Amino acid sequence: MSIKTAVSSAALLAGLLASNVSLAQTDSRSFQVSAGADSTMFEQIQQLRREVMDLRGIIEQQGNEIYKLKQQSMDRYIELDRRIGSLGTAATSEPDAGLSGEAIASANTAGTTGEDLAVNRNTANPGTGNASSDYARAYALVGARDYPKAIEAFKQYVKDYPTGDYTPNAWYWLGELYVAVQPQELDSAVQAFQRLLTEYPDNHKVPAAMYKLATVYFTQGDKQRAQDMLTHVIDRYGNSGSSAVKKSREFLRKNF
Amino acid sequence: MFALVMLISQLSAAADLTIEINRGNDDPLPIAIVPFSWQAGFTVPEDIARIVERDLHRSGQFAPIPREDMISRPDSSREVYYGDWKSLGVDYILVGKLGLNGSNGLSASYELMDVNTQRVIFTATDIASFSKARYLAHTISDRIYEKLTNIRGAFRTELLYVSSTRDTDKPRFRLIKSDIDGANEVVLLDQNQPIMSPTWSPEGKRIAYVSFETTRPAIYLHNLETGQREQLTNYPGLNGSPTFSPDGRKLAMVLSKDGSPDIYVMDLASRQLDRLTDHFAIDTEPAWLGDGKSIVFTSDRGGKPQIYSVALDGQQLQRLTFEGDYNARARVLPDDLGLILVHRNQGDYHIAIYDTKRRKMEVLTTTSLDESPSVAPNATMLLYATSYRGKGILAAVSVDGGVTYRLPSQYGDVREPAWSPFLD
Repeated sequence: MSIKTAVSSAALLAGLLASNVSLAQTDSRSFQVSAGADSTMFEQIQQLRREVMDLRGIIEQQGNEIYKLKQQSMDRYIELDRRIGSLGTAATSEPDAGLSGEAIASANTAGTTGEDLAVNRNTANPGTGNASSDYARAYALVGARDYPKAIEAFKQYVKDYPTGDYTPNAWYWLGELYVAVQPQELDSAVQAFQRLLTEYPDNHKVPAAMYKLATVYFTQGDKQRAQDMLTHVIDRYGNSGSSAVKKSREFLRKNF
Repeated sequence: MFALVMLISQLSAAADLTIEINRGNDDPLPIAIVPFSWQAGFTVPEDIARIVERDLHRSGQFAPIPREDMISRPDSSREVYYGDWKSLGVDYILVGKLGLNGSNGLSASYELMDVNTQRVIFTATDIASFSKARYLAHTISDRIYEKLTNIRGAFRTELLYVSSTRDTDKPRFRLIKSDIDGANEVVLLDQNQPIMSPTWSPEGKRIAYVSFETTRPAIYLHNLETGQREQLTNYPGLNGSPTFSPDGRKLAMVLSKDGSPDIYVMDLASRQLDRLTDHFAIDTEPAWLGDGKSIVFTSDRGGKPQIYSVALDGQQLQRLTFEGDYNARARVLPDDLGLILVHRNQGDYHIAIYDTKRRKMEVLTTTSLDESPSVAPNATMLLYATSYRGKGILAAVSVDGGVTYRLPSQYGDVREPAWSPFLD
């Protein structure tokens, strides 16, 4: 950049000298030379304009880089702050979080007693032994808006067919249902979505699950995590045509 | 006063645009649009249910089931046996009846049902004259769309575009207005000189464009209700890119009368002209931000074409785009949700959405040489010009990139689509 500037100022100087020299010439010659000088002058002005425009472009780009760096360092600071904050609470809350999956299961059994639940399952959702018809049955309960029964059916499904073809979908629906059911069971929803995201990262339901999980985080008050996840959905699946991307964008616009 | 006033007769064009859908949403709602019944004694000029079906399909958010698959054709909710529809995998059903309303009126009474809850969720009756049967259908589409998506429908909107053909030796340019589905084409202007940059006023009753009919480019204001035309500018050099302010009182434009192309704003009542930018680089393609207080435009003042914004008093000049070496022809999304623009990426020109808040560019189109994007007033879809099999055509894409369709014209190359504001 500095070389270019130096070259063009040298050219400008040469141009000025040339026009001075022309004044000392005879009339006819001076006319010719000054006409030549005018056209060089014109060229030089064009060159300088070009140069100024390019320099302006570079300055604008650098301004943008600085803006982005500032944003990034702010984001890093916030993220670090969040992690340090969660370190303090993790010591007490982590064991609970680890237990909560079982805690819910045991709470359920405690609520009804183990036998009742077993009886319930056998009568309400007798497994057919066929993965796809069990899945269809569970899915039909979603359609009928019977969320508590649908939850039981999908829970049974993922237990009976831990590696079934529809298991990722079942985890997705469990997540959805825990949000839809009254009262909501948001922690269970988070776990169901996370099972899908960690065990089936390439599944086609992943963008939708991420979007849903982000909304759950948001409801739970973890706005930073929600924002990070929504941004990730847009960045990662932006060109896939997934409706989760559109929803994520709308959610970000409305809430952040 | 250089105003030229003349009346243009509205000629009807023989061939309408046709629509081909090539890619859809990944998760459209299955819906059954049952053909509407009507009492004996009159003929219905249009297949109302078919138009509703095509409208909803075109939005990409619905997957209407084929009529052949329908087991029954009920015309009221009392006749609907939900089990039949459930087995077809349908989530919603629309049924309706057509009737007479006065001597030349058509009425449609219809019900929308949710198959899963087995309930009627929406009922309405709409009327229109027989000659506006298509409009009646689009009204129904708008109501159903809004009921099911919570987004205002834009099926009763219109489209402006320019077509060019060659008659014997002379090029021929037409400015055409049609319904947004391509039907009801009306030729507004038909001449041998180029027509460019058609644009709508915010209330949809006036349009502006550039015409070379005096052999030089000039901006014209055209009243669609009266057919009256008026020449607004006649400056030496460029007269281009007119765009109405959100309140419809001003027109931003590009003039090069004072040297290089700059952005000017004309007050339409007083015809007073204010210069907004003054730079030796090219400033062009202005578009208003929603509040009417700032304008975005394309400028190469930084060496390459990029989008800038400036307040109406000429202050607060700001560069908005940084990604890529070419960003131009920005259009502002409603509610200032971002910009739609032409973005060059590895030599191909694509339509992209630029989130000004997050400074993120997202390419929406997969075709190349895409230009002139124009956004629907409900911000769900946009139209743009591209080429397909060597011919200039219009194409549409949803703002999330999920849905695309083409609108090839029956004649000539078509360019520069302009999607109208809400007209209902």
